[in-house]
Parts: sequence; structure tokens; C-alpha cells
Amino acid sequence: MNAVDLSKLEALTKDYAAFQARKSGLATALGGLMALLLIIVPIYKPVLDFRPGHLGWLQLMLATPLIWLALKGLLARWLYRGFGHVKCLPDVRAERTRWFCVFGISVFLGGFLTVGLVGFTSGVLGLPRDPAVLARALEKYHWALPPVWMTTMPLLYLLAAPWWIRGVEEARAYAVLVVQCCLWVWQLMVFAYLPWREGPEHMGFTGATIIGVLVLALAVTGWGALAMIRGWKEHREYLALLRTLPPAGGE
Amino acid sequence: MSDANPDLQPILTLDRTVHEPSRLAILTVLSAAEEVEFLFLQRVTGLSKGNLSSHTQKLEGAGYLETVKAFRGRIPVTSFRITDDGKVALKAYHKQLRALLPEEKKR
Repeated sequence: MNAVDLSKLEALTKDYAAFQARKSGLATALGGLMALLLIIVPIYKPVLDFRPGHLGWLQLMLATPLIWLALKGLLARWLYRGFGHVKCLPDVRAERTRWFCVFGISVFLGGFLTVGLVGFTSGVLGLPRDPAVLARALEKYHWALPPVWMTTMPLLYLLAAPWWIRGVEEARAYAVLVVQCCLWVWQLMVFAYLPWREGPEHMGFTGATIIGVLVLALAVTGWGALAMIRGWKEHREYLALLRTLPPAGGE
Repeated sequence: MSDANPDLQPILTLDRTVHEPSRLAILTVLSAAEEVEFLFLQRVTGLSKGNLSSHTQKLEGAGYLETVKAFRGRIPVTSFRITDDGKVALKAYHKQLRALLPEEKKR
């Protein structure tokens, strides 16, 4: 056991512990893939075609960040704890960065919830006053009202963040998924309360909206592809680390 | 030890609990993390279960590590932590050993 072996042993332990504290490997790749799916699925599936029976896809899509969190936890348990749990030494800088990311996501979601609440209130206040008109509108568009659990999604994203986000890569993946889903929630809210006044046929896209959506789609596609590459590289780094372990000792 | 060559005195005063290669490896691994599970320690040092248990008991006896027993579901899990005394002993050992090396071999 010479000095080189000891420093290798130390580095190996630190690297292995990092996978349990900060690094997410394939979970980052999965986040990238899911972000891409959130762009691709609406092209082939009628997610935004608000008709009865089509809301299932939207519900599934809105659950994506939470599904990712659950899958990430399972991946970490299956893939990165094969040789037992190693608790990383406290790293003040990494912990500060993590909280900074969580704070950023929380501020975004807090802002989104506030804007949503204001929008919701103005939507409700704009309901037709004539009960007969209201009853007709309700009968026609009752299926378009978002289920209550769907409107609480931003709050769920917010609550999950401090407990489940471990590192910067994970915070990035989560932020991208959450922002995408918040846009869907926003679309849903707009659609659900617009018919009371004008009807869905008046809900059109302006040129600026289309450009905005295209820019967002391109940015997410770019990030998704990069995340998949980064996640795969990190996973290979972990496999290389395992190969450096000495063969198991006997009983 | 009084009859020993005075030049050898620094070597003879090395902490033998730490000096043993397996125990040195165990302490090195433990110093790189906050808490390490038995399974990882066994795999990374390449020691058998019996050997590892015996060495960790000696280190625990010297006050250099502490054992943490817990349950994961119904499975008992044993982990280890290096103590402050263990950190001091490991640091002192490195310092002593470095001091013993000829100048050209020090990095």
C-alpha cells in the first residue's frame, strides 16, 4: 500500500460518494430525454387540442417533473449504490450552489403562482353575469375546466424541490421540466377561462408567440441533447470508477 | 526500546495501529467521506469480512473510528465514521512518515 495507492483510494472514495451526493449520471440524461419528449409529444398527440378525452395526455405531461424525480431516485438506488452507501464530506460550496438553484426554482414558481392567481381571479370575475348564459357555457365547456389537482401542480413542484434536488445538474433538469410544464398549465388556464368571454375559436397565436415558442423549443432541444450527452458521460465515469475497484475479498 | 539505535527512534515511534497497511487503508477511506458502509469498505480495501471486522474493531478500540449500526428496511447495515482522534492520528502518521523520507523522495 504505497502513497500512490492511498491517494487513489482517497480519490475513489470521494468520487463514489459524489455520485450519492451530487452527481446524477443517467438521471440527467433521462431529464434531457423527458424535456425533449415534452416538445415532441404535443406534435404527435392532441395535447393542446382541448376536446373531451384529450386531457389525459396533458395530465400525464404535467406530472413529468414529479415522475422524473421518482425515476431519478430509483436510478440512484439501482445504479449508484451497488457497493453500499457512502456519505460525502460536507461541501459548503456545493451546498450553497444547490440552495441557490432551489431558491431560483422557488422564486420562479412563486412568481408563476402569483400571476396564475391574479389571472384566475380576473377570469372568475369575468364570468357571464346572466345565469342562463353561464349555465349554457358550463354545459358546453365543463370538460375544459382543469381538475383541481392539475392547478396544484406548481405548488407540488415547489414543495418537491428542496427535498429532492441534490446538485446543479439535477436543478437544471428539474427547472427545464418545471418551466415547460408551467407553460402547459398556463395554456390550460388561458383556455379554461377564455370561453366564458369569447370562445375557443378566438384563441389564436400571434407571430410573437410563435417565435417565442420556437425559440423555447430550440433552447430546450439543445439543452436536452447536451444533458443526454453529459449524463451518459457521467455514467461512463462511474463505470470506469467501478472498474478500478479491487476484486471482492472473501468471507 | 531504550537500546535501539537513536536514528531508528522516529520509525519506532510510528503509531502501529495506523501503520498496519490494512488499517491505514481503512482510515484513508474513512477520512475521504463522512460515513462509509461496511460493504464499500470491504470492496475498496479488498479485505475479507473477517479481516475487515477485526481491523475495524482494533481501530475502534484505539478510538480512531466509530461504528454506526442502522437498519435499511429489515436489513441491518453497519457503517463507520472516522473520529477526531482518528483524523489527528492519520495526519500525524503522514507527517511522521514524510519527515522520515529523504529530501529527494518527498513530493
